[in-house]
Amino acid sequence: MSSSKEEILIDYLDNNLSPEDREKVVTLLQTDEDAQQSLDALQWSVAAIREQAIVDQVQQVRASLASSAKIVALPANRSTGIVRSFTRNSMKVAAILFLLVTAGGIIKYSTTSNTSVYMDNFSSFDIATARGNSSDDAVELAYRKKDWKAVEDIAAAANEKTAKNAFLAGMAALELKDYNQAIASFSAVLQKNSRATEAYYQDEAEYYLAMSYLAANRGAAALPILQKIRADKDHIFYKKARAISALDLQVLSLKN
Amino acid sequence: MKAGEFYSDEQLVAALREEQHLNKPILFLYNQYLHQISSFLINYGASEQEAQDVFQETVVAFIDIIKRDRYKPEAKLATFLTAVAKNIWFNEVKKKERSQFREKEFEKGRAQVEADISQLMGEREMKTALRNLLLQLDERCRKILTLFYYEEMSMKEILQHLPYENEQVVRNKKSKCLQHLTGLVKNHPLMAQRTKYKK
Repeated sequence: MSSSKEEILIDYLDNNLSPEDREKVVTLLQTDEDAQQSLDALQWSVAAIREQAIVDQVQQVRASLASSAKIVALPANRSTGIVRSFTRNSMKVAAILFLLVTAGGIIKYSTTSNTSVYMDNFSSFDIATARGNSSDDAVELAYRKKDWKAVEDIAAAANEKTAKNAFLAGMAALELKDYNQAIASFSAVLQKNSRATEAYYQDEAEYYLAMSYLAANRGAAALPILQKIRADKDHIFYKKARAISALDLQVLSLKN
Repeated sequence: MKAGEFYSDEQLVAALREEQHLNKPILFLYNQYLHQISSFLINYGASEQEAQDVFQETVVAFIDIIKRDRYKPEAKLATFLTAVAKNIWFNEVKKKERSQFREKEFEKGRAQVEADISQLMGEREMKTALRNLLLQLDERCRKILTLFYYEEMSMKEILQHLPYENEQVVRNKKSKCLQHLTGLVKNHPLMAQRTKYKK
């Protein structure tokens, strides 16, 4: 099967074809056995991708429960001494569960920190997603080149202190691990937006401000922002904030 | 992890069918049924580890059945899940060729719900085998395919998660990743067997 034919089948599968082209593919599938097999394989591939996504979620829950679940086989026939053995077994199970939960809790508590949550969840901001009028201005070009120092310098020297400049300067500071500077830049975006009629880079600045607070070991400041994002389905970073483990946030709220 | 939310059978099925982030309903399934079904499996010869693995596969199969709209709430959820678990364990045992054990413990008195389950579980072996092929893709490919086909994100949304230049680059990468996976799928022995059978 040629690569271009397979790409057409992918477009068919993804529902990206016009009704006319779709009709042509349907006709092709009726006569071309090779195309039928390719489509079959594509459909199985997608089924496998979807199933693996579910498996990942089940494994995540299983792993989180691993330290607190202990399966005990029930005897097939319980004929004598039910009350006493049940009580004794219940006490044993309760004791084991208590120890396991305690041990699991201690391990989780000791290994979770502001920095670990930041390290696990931080991903760089992609300039391709940036919104603005001029797409190729100097600060944006420097950001694309990952010339973080230049981004900071250009943003600082700019006559117009736009939300975009402040936000990208914050990202550059975050990349340079200058967390306090990043906090200052993202806060400046939010402050600017609070006075403006239209808010630019609001969602981005909120999320990365929370990340900066975590990186700077100031979890108490990060948590309310993350909770706010996690409660707002329309927030651009809703999914990213929801991807942070609730248990990790619980531990951070205890530690901070 | 927190104790989690409570779901009625209907609410649970609706949550598993409609949502993409399933941690809460999965946690509920574990809290409600793990002990019961694992104990059942252990009584039928599974080790503790095997029981946990079978329960995990049971949850995956159950979600799959719901997402394909094949679940009919005729039996109690516990009965249904037990029948699914039993079917998975039956096949595991069969693979291990413990035929004597199978005859003795499983074949006698199979209920109607179990016969129905067998039909629903027909594609399990294939899906389980094919999802292992994903491990042969690099991390970036797995992520892009998951974001597109499971999370149902647009190319624009995927750009938020992966460091690509623009939507066209994402589109090309996704296409290449899917073609790579499809190549692996085509060459899988189960797939070849299926093609031969169809002919």
